[in-house]
Amino acid sequence: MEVKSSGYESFQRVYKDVFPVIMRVAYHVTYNVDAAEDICQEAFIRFYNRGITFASIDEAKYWLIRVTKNLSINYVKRKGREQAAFDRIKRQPLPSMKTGEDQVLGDETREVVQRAIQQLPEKLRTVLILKEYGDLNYREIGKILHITESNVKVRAHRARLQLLKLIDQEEIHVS
Amino acid sequence: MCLDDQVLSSYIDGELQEPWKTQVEEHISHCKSCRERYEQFARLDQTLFETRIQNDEFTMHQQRVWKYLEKTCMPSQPKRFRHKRFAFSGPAMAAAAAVMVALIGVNIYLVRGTDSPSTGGEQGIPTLTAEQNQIPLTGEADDSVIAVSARAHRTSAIAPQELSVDELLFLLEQKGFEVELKRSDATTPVHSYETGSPAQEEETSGAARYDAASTQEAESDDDAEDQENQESTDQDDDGWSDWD
Repeated sequence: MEVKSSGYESFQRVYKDVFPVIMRVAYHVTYNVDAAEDICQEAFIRFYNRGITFASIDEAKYWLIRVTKNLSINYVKRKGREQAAFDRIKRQPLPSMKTGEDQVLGDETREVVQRAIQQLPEKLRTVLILKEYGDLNYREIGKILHITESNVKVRAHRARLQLLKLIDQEEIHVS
Repeated sequence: MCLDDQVLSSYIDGELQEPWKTQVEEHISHCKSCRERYEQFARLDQTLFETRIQNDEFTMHQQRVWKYLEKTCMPSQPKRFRHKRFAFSGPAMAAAAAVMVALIGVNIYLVRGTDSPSTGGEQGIPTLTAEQNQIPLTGEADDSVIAVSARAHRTSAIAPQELSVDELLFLLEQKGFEVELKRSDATTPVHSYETGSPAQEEETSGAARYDAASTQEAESDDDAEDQENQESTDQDDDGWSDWD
């Protein structure tokens, strides 16, 4: 079914379906929930204003994810230029349903993983985030990044290896 | 022979097809080192999953962005609909114009036909109201031009059941009058129907400008992406043909 990006009803449907995905992608690239919100907003403004007709809601989703990914990467690069490398890894406090000890442990693990992900090279990080947080398969990631499926396979594997190494370096056992 | 890391990685991602999938499962079940490797990967995946931002953590952001988009991108949704109706419907536009003219008050000059019989000119100048218009206008006037002052009162003249200017003009034409309408007061506040269209134009051109700007930007992003891929494809795409 065709999706018109500037049609009110289809826009509303795409927003409802796709916002959580691009929010997760933007958040796990930037690790800043306010920046992620701004990025999602910008992505949807572009989506609406360009008035593109997509063949399906999935195509619209891929387009939005691609734009979100680019905006998020640009944000991180800009931030990186503005701040010292360590500063930019600062974590935004997030509301959470967890309490007590769970919360503390969760936060620690979260920080370690975030730092490790942020140290990954951009190409590996993008694939990893799209796969883990965008819930996309190799074929879909390939479509979004305009790379082959086997290229996605390779990057996913390398990202995994490097991430293990980086987490190890943090000397915290992830279990 | 033990499993390749890349095979395990694909297996964990759920991307391994049969018969390799079963082969991997079988191998893991009896090979300790491969099982440990698999478990290491699986734990990593589990950790990544546990650290993902949950939907309820950004519900507020989702709602806030939606409100913003509704206000900025599509504030004119109902308005635009109304504009459209008037913009494309001739009779509706005419009616709107007529109502506007009636509202602000008009002087109607009735130009009579060429050969008019002569009777008392002064009596031929009635104050035109909807109730009265049919009666006095049938009367003859001696002047070739009779001015009918139709200072329509807002309360009486524009009620929908009564005659609109359109209908009035039609009636007069039927009776052989030539009618010329003049607005007596150009500075009268303009009715909302008129304000509708310039506002719409502004809006449309604003959107068009934004669109052009954003298109450029988005395209430049895409270009950057393409270049990056060109560079990356060769070095990354190695040794995977046997799994396709």
